[in-house]
Amino acid sequence: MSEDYVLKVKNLKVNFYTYEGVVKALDGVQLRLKRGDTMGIVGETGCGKSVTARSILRLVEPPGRIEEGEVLFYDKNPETGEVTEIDILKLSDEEMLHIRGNKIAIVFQDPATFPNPVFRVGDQIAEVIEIHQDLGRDALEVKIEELEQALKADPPAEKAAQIEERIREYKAMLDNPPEPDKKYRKKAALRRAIQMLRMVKMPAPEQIANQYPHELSGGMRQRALIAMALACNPSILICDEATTALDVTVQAQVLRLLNDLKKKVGSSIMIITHDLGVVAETCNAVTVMYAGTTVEATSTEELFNNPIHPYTVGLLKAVPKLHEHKDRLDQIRGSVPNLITPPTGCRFHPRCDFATEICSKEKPELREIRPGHWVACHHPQGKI
Amino acid sequence: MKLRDFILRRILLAIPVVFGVLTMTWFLSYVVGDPLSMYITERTPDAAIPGIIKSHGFDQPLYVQYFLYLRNLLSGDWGVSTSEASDMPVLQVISLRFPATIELAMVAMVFAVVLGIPLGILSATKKDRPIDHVTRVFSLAGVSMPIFWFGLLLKYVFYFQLSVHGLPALPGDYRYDITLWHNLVGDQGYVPITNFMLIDTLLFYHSPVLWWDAILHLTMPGFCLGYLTLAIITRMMRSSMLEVLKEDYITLARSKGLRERVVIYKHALRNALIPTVTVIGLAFGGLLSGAVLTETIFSWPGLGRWAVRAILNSDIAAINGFTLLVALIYVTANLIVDLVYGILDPRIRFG
Amino acid sequence: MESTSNQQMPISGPAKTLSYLEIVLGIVSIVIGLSAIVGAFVGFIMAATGLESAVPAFLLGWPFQALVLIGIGYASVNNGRAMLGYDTYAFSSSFYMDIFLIIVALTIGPLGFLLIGVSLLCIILLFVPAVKAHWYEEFREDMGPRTKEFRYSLHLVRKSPLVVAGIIIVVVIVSIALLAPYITSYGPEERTWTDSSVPPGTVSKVPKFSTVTIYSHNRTDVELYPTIYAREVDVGPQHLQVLEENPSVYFSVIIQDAGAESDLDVLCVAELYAMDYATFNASTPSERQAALIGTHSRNNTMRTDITVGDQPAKYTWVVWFNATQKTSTWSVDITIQLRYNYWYPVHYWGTDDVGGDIYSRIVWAAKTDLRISVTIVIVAVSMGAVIGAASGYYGGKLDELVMRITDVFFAFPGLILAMAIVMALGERSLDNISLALMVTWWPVYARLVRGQVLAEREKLYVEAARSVGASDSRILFTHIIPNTFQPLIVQATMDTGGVLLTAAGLSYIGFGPPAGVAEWGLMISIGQQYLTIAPWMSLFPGLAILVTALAFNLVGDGIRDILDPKLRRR
Repeated sequence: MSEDYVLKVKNLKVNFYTYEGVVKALDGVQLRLKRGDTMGIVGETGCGKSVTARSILRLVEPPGRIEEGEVLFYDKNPETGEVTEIDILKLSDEEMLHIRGNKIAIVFQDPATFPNPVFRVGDQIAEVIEIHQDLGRDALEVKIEELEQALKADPPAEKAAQIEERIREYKAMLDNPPEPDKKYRKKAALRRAIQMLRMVKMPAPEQIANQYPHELSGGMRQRALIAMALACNPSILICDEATTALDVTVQAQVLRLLNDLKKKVGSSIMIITHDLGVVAETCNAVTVMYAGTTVEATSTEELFNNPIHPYTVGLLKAVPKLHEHKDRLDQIRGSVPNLITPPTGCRFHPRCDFATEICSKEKPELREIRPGHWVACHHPQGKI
Repeated sequence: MKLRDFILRRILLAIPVVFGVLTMTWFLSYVVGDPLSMYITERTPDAAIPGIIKSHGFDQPLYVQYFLYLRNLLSGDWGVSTSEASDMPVLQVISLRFPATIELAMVAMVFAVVLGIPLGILSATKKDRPIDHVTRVFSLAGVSMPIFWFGLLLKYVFYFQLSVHGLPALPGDYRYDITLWHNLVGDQGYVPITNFMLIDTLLFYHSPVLWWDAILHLTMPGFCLGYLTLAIITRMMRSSMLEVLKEDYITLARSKGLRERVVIYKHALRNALIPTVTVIGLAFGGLLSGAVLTETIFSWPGLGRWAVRAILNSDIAAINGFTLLVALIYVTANLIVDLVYGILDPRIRFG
Repeated sequence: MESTSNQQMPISGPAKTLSYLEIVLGIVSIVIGLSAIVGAFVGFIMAATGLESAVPAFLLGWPFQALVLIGIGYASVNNGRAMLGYDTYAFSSSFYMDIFLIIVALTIGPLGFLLIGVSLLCIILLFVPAVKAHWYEEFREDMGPRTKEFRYSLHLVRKSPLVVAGIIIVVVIVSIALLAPYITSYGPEERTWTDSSVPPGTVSKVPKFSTVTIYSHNRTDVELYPTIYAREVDVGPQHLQVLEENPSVYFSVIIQDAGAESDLDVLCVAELYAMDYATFNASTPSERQAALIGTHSRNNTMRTDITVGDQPAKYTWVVWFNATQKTSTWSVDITIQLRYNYWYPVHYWGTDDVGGDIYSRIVWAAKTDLRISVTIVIVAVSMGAVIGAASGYYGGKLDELVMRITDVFFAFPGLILAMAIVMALGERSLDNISLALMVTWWPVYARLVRGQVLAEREKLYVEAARSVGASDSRILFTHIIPNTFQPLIVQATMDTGGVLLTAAGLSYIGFGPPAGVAEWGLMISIGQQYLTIAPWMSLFPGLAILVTALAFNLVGDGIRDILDPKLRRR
C-alpha cells in the first residue's frame, strides 16, 4: 500500500434480528480512512452510518449481529513507526478492551443521555485515562506539586529541608518513574483529565471537573465527551453525529475544536453526519452511504465538484444554494427502502433516473473510476 | 445549599399527614368508644379519677379537649393500655415492645438486602436465561407465600423435626431462652436495659453465650420476615438494573474500554441502586410497623401482637398510640428515603 | 383526528335507539346504585336500633360497587345525550363504559344480570352496521398502533415460559374451583367423625349408605287387575363394595283415593326375581317361581325390603294389584329404590380434627377464596381508577385532597387497617373481610391511575384534542384511560395474589368466617394446633395459597416485563 491507511473496512455485513424480520442493515460496507484525514460519512437517516461506527468498535448489541467482513486497523507504534495490522472482528474480548477508548474512540450524539449522571465530569474522564495510560510520571509530578504546595505554607526549617530532599529525589526519578500506588494514580488521572478539559477550551476546567453532567450546558457536555474520547490520544476518533444535537453556533465551535485537536493529538477523524455543510467545512475526504452500502468515496473537493453516483448527484442538487434561484427544490424521488426486504441488486435502483435492468440484478462493485475517486454504480454520471 | 431546603420542604409536607392521623385517632376515640377509657381503667384508683378528668379536660368543651389531647401527647401522656398483663402507660408499652420489633426488622432487612441485591443483579445480567427464571420464581414465591404458613413450616422443620431426630434445632419461640437466663443470671431473668438483646447481652451482661442465644432466637423469625422483603428487593433491583443497562451511558462506558464487570458494578449499579434504596427504606418502615403474623407465630413480644390484641380488646389508648407511632415511622421512613435519594442522585440534589 | 364526513351524518334508526338505550342504562345504573346505598343505610340503622332488617338480600353487600355504578350511570346518561348530538367519540366511549359496567356488574349478584343484559345489548347494537358507521373507522385508526403493539405483546407472552406457566396454573385453579362439585367426594363442611385427623391416603373406616331411586310414578287412573309393573334392576360391583349388608330393593306402594267405594281393599304384591327382564318375559310361571327371591303383600299400603345376593347380577321386580271389587279405579304412588353401602372415598390429603376431608375442602375453598379475591380487586380497581383519574385530570383542590387521603391510608399497615375495619363493621365474616380489603386497597389504584393520568395529560395529543373541541370525558375515556391500562393490569394481576394472602391472613387470625367454613387461611389456623402430629392439616392449604398467589404473581410480573416500553425490543 502506497497510501498510509489507518483503517480499512471491507465488506462489512450486519443484521438485526427483529420481530418483524431480519433487517439487513449493512450489506457489504467498504471504508478507507487515511492516516491524518478527516473523513465525513454522509447519508440519510437510517442508511447505516451509526451501525458502521459501532461495528468498528464492536459495540453492536443484540438483536444486531456482525455477520461477516473485515475491520482492519493499522496500529502505528509512535516510537518505532512500525505498523501492525489488526483485524478487529477477530480480536478476543480482552484484546478489544485495549482498543476501545484507547486506540479508537467514539464521541456520541446526544450529550444529554450519554454521560453517566451520577458521576462527576472529571472523574468520568479520569476513568478512561486510568485504565489505559501509564501514569507513573504524572503521579510523580502530582507528588512534586503537592510537596511544593507544602513548602509554600512555610513550615519549620527542619521539615522544609525534608521536603526539599524529597522533591529532589522525585525529580531525579522523573525519567524512570516507578509504578504509582492507587491513590496517586487517581490524582494523576484527574490532573490529566483537567488538562484535557483545558485542551477542549472549557472555561474554568478545575471547577467543571468537579461538577455533574446535568449542571453543564449541552455544548459544554459535548466538549467533555470529546475530552473523554481524546484523553488517550487515540489513532482514530469517530464522531457519531456529534454535533447534530447542538445548535448551529455551538456546532461550529465544536467542529473547529476538533480540527485543532487533530493536529495536536495526531488522530484521524471520522465524522458521521447527514449535514453536507459540516462535511464541506471540516472534512477533506468523504464517503457516501446509502441503505447500508457504500456508494461513493473520494476527497471533499472532488465530490462537490464532480459527483458521479446518481445518489450523490441528487443529494448535492437537493441542497439549496444561496446564489441560485429556484421555484421548486429538487428532490430524489421515492423514499428510503425497507431494509427487511431491500431492493435487489443496487439498493438505489428504484429511485434512480438512470437505472436499467442490470441495476436490479447485480450489485455494483466499488471501483476506482477516477484516481482517488471510488464509485459503486453501473451507470456512473459526471466526468469520468 | 439546596439540600437543606429540600429536607425542610419534605418535613413541611409531612406535618399535615401526622396531623391528619392525630386528629383522626382523636375523633375515632370519640365515635367508636369512650375516650375516658384511654386514661381511666378498671384499675385506676378512684381517688385519681377526678384529677385525670380535669387534666384532660373531660369536663370542658370539645375544642379544649382536643387542645389538651395534643398537649398531653407532646408531654408523654399517651393513655393507658389494657392489653398487657397489667395496665401500662402506652409509652411504656411501646418502649418495651418497639425495640423487639426493631431488632427483628433489622435482622430481616440485613438478610433481605445482602441476598436481594446480588440476586437482582444476577437476574438482570442473565436475563431470560434459566438462572433468571429460577431467581424470579424464587423471589416471586416470597411474595406469594402466606407468611404465617411459612413460619409454621420453618418451625416444623427446623425446630420440631430437628429436635425429634436429635439434631441441634433452632428455637422457635420468644426472644431468649428463659431457663438459660435463669441458670446464668438468676431468678429475675432478663431485666431489660435498652431492651435490645444484642446490645444488652454484650454490654451489660457481658455474656457471649447469652448473645449467641439471642441471635439463634432471631434467626427463624428474621428469615421468615426477611424472605418477603427479599423478594421485593430482588424484583426492584432486577427491573431497575434492566432499565439502566439500556441507557446510553452504558454504551459509552463500554466504548471507553472498561471491563464488563466495571460497567455493571460501577456504572450501572450506582444508577440502579437509586430506586432500589427507596424501596428498601419504605420496606423497612413497613417492617417496623409490626409484622403481625410473624410475631404471632414465633411468640415475639413486639408491636404487632400488641396491636392485634388491642384491636380485639377495643383498647382505644393502645390503638391510638400504635396508630400514631406507625404514622410517625412512615413519615420518618419517607423522609430518610428522600434524603438518601437526594444524596445518591445529584440531579435531585440540585434541582 | 376528526373526520368531517361523519359529523354530519344524521342519527337515526338503530343509532338513535342505542342512544336512548344508553341513557336508560345509565338511569338504571344510578337507580340500582342508589337503592343499594339506601338499602345499606337502612339496614345499618335497623341493625343499630335492633329491628329486623327488612332490606332484601340482593341489595346488600356491595356498597362500593354501588358508588361506581352511580358514577358510571351518570357518565352513561351524558354519553347517551352526546350520541344524540352527533358526537362520534361518544360511541367508542360507550363501548368502554359498557365493558366496564359488565365487569363491575359481575360482582353484584342477581341484580347485576339485568345490567349485564342491557349492556350487552348496547354493545351488540354498537356493531350493527348502521351504528358502526358512526364510530368504527375512527376507533380503528386510534386503536391501530395499539393492536399492533398488542399482537407483539402476545408474541412475547408466548416466548416467556414463566408467564405461560402462570397462566396455565391460573386456568387450572379456576377450573378446579368451578368443577368443585364434580371432582370432590366430600362436601365443604361434611364431616366424618370417625375419620378425624387421619393422614393423607387413608381409606375411610365408615361405610356410607346410599339409595338410588330406580323407578317412581304417581298416576290418577289405574286399570283393574291384571295391572303389573315390572322392570329390571342392575346390581353392579359399585353397589357391592361393603358386604356387611347386602344391597336390597326397597318397595314403597301407596294406594290413594280408592274411589267412592270406601270399602274397597286393594291388595298390593311385590316380588323380586333373580333373572333379567328378557329372561323373565320368556319364562314360564314355574321357571319364574324357581327364581323368586322374595315376595310381600299387603292391603293398600306397602313398604318392604327384599335383599339381593352378593354377586353382580340383574334382577326383575314386579308389583301387581288385586281389588275386592272389579269395577273401581284408584291412584297409586310407587317408588322403587336400590339401597346399598359403600366406603367413603379415600382421603387423599388426610382429614382435619373434625373429620373434614382436606382435599375436598381445599377445592371448595378455592371457589370462595378466588371469588372474593377477584371481586375485591375489581372493585378496588374501579373505585381507585375513577377517583384517581378524576383527581389527576382535574387537579387542583380535588387532587390535593385525594393525595392527603391516600397518604393517610398508606401510613397504616394494610393488615391492621383491614382488621380495624372488620371490627368496626361488627361481625367477623368473609363478606366483611371483602369490604375491609376493598377499602384498604383502593388507594393503590387511585395513586397509580392518577400518576398515569398526570403524565398523559401533559402530552401534546391531549392539547390537540382539546383544541378541536373534545369534551373532558371524551378525552378521558377515549385517550387517557386506554393508556393507563398497562400498569393497571400488571398491578391488578399481582394484587389478586396479594389480596388472597391478606384475606387468608385475616381468616387465620380469626377475623374471618367461623370455624368449619372451607377457607384456606382458616384451615391453616385450625391445623396449627396439630402441627406436630398432623402437619398435613396446615401444609396443604398453605400450598394451595402459595401456588395460587404464585401463579398470579408470575403472570403479573411477566406481563410487566413484557409491557415495559424500555424493555421491549422490536
